[in-house]
Amino acid sequence: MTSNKQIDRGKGVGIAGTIVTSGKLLFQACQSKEILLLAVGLLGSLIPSGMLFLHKRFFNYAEQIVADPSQTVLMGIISTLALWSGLMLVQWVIGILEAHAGRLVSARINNYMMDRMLAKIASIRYEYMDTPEVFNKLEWVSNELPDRISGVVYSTIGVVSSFITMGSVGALALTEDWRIALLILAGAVPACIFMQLQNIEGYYRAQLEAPEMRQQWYVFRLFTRRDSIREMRVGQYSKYLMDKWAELSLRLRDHRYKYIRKYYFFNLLSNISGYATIGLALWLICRRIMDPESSAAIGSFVLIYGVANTLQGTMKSLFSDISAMAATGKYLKDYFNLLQYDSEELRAEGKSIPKHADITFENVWFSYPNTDRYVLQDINVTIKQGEKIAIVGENGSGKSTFVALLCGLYRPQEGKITIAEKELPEVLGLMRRATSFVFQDFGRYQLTVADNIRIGNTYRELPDGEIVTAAKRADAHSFIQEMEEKYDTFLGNLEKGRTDLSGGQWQKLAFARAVIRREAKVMILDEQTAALDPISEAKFYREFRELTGDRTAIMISHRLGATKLADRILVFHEGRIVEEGTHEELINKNGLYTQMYEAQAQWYTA
Amino acid sequence: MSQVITENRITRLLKRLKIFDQWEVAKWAYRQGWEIDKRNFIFWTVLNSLGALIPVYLLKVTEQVVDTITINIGAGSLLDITWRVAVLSSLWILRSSYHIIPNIIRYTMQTRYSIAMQRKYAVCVNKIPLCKFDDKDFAAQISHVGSTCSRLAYVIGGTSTFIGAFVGTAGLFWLAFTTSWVLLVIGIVFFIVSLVLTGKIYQQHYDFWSVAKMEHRKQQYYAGLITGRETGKEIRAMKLSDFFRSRWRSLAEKLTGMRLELDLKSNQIRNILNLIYLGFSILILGLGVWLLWNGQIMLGGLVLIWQLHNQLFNSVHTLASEYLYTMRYLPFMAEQKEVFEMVFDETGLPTREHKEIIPKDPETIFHLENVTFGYVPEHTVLKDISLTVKKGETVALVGDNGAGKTTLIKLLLGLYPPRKGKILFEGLPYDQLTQEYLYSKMGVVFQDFKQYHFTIRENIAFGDIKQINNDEVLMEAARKGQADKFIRAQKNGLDTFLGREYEEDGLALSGGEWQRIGVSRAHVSDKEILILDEPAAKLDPVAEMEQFVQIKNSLHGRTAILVSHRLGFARLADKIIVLKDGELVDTGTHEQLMKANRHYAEMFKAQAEWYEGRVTVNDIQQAD
Repeated sequence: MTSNKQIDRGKGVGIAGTIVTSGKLLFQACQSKEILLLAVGLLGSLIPSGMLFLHKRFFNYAEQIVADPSQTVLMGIISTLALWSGLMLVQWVIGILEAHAGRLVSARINNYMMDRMLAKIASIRYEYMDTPEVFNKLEWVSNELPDRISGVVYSTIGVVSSFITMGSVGALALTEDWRIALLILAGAVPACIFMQLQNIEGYYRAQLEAPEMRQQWYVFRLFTRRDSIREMRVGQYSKYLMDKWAELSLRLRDHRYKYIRKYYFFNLLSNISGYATIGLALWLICRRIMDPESSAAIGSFVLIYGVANTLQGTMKSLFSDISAMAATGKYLKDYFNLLQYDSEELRAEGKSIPKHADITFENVWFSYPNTDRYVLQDINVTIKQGEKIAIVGENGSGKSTFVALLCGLYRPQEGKITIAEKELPEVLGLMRRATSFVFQDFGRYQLTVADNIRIGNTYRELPDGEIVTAAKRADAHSFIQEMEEKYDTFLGNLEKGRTDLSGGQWQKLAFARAVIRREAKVMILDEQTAALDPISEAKFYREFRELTGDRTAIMISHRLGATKLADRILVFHEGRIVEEGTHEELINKNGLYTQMYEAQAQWYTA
Repeated sequence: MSQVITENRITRLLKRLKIFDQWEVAKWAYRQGWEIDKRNFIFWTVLNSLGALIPVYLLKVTEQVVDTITINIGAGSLLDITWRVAVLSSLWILRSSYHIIPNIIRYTMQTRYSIAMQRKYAVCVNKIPLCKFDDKDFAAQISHVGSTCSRLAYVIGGTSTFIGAFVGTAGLFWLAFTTSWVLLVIGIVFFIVSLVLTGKIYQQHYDFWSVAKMEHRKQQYYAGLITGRETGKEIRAMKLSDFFRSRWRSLAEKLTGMRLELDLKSNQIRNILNLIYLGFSILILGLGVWLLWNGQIMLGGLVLIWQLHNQLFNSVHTLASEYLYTMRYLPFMAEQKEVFEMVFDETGLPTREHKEIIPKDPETIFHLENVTFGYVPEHTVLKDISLTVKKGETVALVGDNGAGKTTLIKLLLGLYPPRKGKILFEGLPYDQLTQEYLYSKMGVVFQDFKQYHFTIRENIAFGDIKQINNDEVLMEAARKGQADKFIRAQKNGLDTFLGREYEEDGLALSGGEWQRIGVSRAHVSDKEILILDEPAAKLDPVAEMEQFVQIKNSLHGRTAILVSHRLGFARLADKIIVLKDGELVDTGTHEQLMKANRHYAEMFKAQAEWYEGRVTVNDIQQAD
């Protein structure tokens, strides 16, 4: 079974790890021209330094206007402004490209990751779904992931472009005066240290993952749900829960405040160190400008001033990008963790379906994950190809579990199940292909009517004629014909308008789904007629033999009258098969079946 | 009922589109915020506004620094420049710290307003009659409001930041005015034009989402089919994953395409914006150079103009985005306003007020006359039920699944009014009773009783919350509910945490163990009336019998109604009520009913045979 290690809440992924992962995903999910586009977009990060350079030039000319206005100076100013406009245009084009590339790439990565995740979830062993922790995590990742991925992509792009900008601006400062460049750089060192100290990662993780937060949320949700509202109202303890919730909220708030204070304290320290050194650099440059010996002009001041501004802005976005990445790293980890769950192995799926798919259960014992009660105990039964089997028994006697095991949704703890003399795990894929199902809680899918039938056989392309035939056999054709758009009617409310079917009509569609898999050797019907009206039900049973043909039919039913149709009846009681035989045999036996039958017969005759 | 709700939803949607109603909603939201905490709102808004003025002052100081340098070339007063640069650096530090303010606000205010709103919400939900939750749309709306009611904080925080940004922009204009009135005019024209265009871009996004939402919902639906537990079975057995995944993929690609198309559309506006910005820049810098040429400003003034045009550009974005950020949450506020202001029809239900109740007939606990009930008009669950439960009686309510047993219990609890007929509690109709009175008399364990992810102590004490710290009473209740053995086996005993939702070492209980906890809950209180719905359905037959015997033994003359689809326990009861398809078909003692040899007798014989050779009630009573 699932080990607890798989569900640990994890430490998240480091920033570097996230960048590397995003990079990998980029190459897996995107075409090379999209990546190229992104790379071009990143070049835009070089523009700020070009701008700063032009600023310097502009102000150096401007200074000369005051000192010595001349034609050359004016031309200089105009040419600088022209260059500047040109650069603005370039920035504008690249900006649009970058936004486009970012959007495209993040959508691609998002779709790629989600698709992979859906494929995985659809194939992981079904028993995971019964393990609340795994299921919760699965829900958590699949709900949160779509919102987070674009965040990861944008932050990663942001971090890379911030570094390019900082590098190029730094280089520009270097051309001015290496000592000043060095000074500014030195000012950034404490900022980096503080950034490490304040541990943004921890801060965000504490925000997102604190168990208190989940607990607070859990308690609050109790106020929004009917079952808990009912109980706390009747039991008169809503006040207790309200107080508990308020206490948790306040504790959480104090917890947050503590982090926030720390965060802002360190932030302030790094700002002080950063700007103090920039101030010093400005002072040095001022002194140089004021020194008549030196060639430095006001442009140099503007340049350093601009460098300071740009660096400040870049640092700010770097901070927030890195924080965002720290927060999302965890989702990435959960995601990759999820991909490692065991999948079902659909062996022998492509093999040809055997003529005789006899089913045997040998000493099968089964209990659901995390429970200690055996729902099936020592089940031994052989079902020959073509036999019509009815399974009867109370609720909870193990009927549906028996079917679930036969479908390979769960694995028995003891004993073995074989199909056509092969152990089930060896031929799981083939078994699924050779079996058609109507589950008790069959899906009512928001698709068109035709698609609702079509999904009964996804192994091959189905012509429309075949869908109509299946609908006719399942007695669904007539009501479909009465609908406005017939087989193209969309069921549900996801598209305009709202069409819904009655329980009986849905059941007929579900049966059509089973019928359309003509190549099936086994047909499993769980409470197939529960929602049908008496007339349709009677019709179904009349045609039962013809409908199932030479297939093995396994039918679970509460209505014992229907079991007369079966070649053999299996009576389940508390996880065991307590009686088996034809209706007559069992009636003659005068055992459990007889009692059930008579009890029901009385209901119906009285 | 659901028809009405649907209509309400449509009218509501229509209303939402009107500006007037938006204003009404905003007013409501601000009133909530004002009531919750006005001091903080004012404080942060003032701080925001002051902070927004820092950049304005910063520009002024920059101008002075530049002028100081240029004037003093060669004749430098180093002290003067040192002082000014120091002021400049301090302002920078201040400004960058101010940038953090909106974040602080969002965290601190969020906590404050969330707590208050969630509290208001809980009070509001407490008013809603439970039967309203049968309407799925309504229940979904309530749940949705529950998870979004803390968003008031975003509206308040966004507004505060918006006001700050507004003040900051005004400051920039003032600065422009002091430099040259032409600058002010150009600035204002640019500002208004860009604000309108930027607003348009945001509007496009907004419109896009109202269309894309539908596709998005569809996409989520298909993904949900794959990740869902219920559908998971069919997905595997019928190999549907490829089918639904391809649906999902094509929707995903469609959405991506739509998104890129939106980009192209808003790029058109962006291009115009960029052109305007470029023109504006050239105009303003040309003006600057001209002013400098004419000696109307000094070099510092030119630097100021240069910086000013950048900042105006930024403030357009801040204002537009803050405004739309706030507006984005208005629809949630509209929904909340609607729920918070709902008035409910409580005809036939016990009231929430506090008043003295004097029972009219204390000896007759329940009296039903021709009661008919259904959750929806098309369906009748209970038909023409008449019965009486006297004080001190033990009543067994039996019948098949779906016979209406649980529904009858809900009516007895006053959770639903009957459609026809009348129900009296101690001789009084329910609308003359209070919830307080009713529920201080009745202890209930529902069939689907809530399994709280709290400690065992809390889970049991919910039967009577006053006993939460009384270990003796709780353990005695656990003993009666047969839960004491496994509680003792736990290291932390009563304080063991149940469930792993947020407690990694929480104890995961099986269905049967949960049921024992649930029944223990009933044993904590000694309320006059005890109602237990299927208290042993998940136990094996021996434990089941034992459970019923324990219940019977701890009644001590109290009134009890026990519900089960298994009949074995019914002989313990003074009176048996048999329901079939919503009708009362038999009533009497076990002996009477067996003698009458009708449904009850048949059911009993049929079930009795199954338990042949097993422990019987008598065995257990003897063993005791």
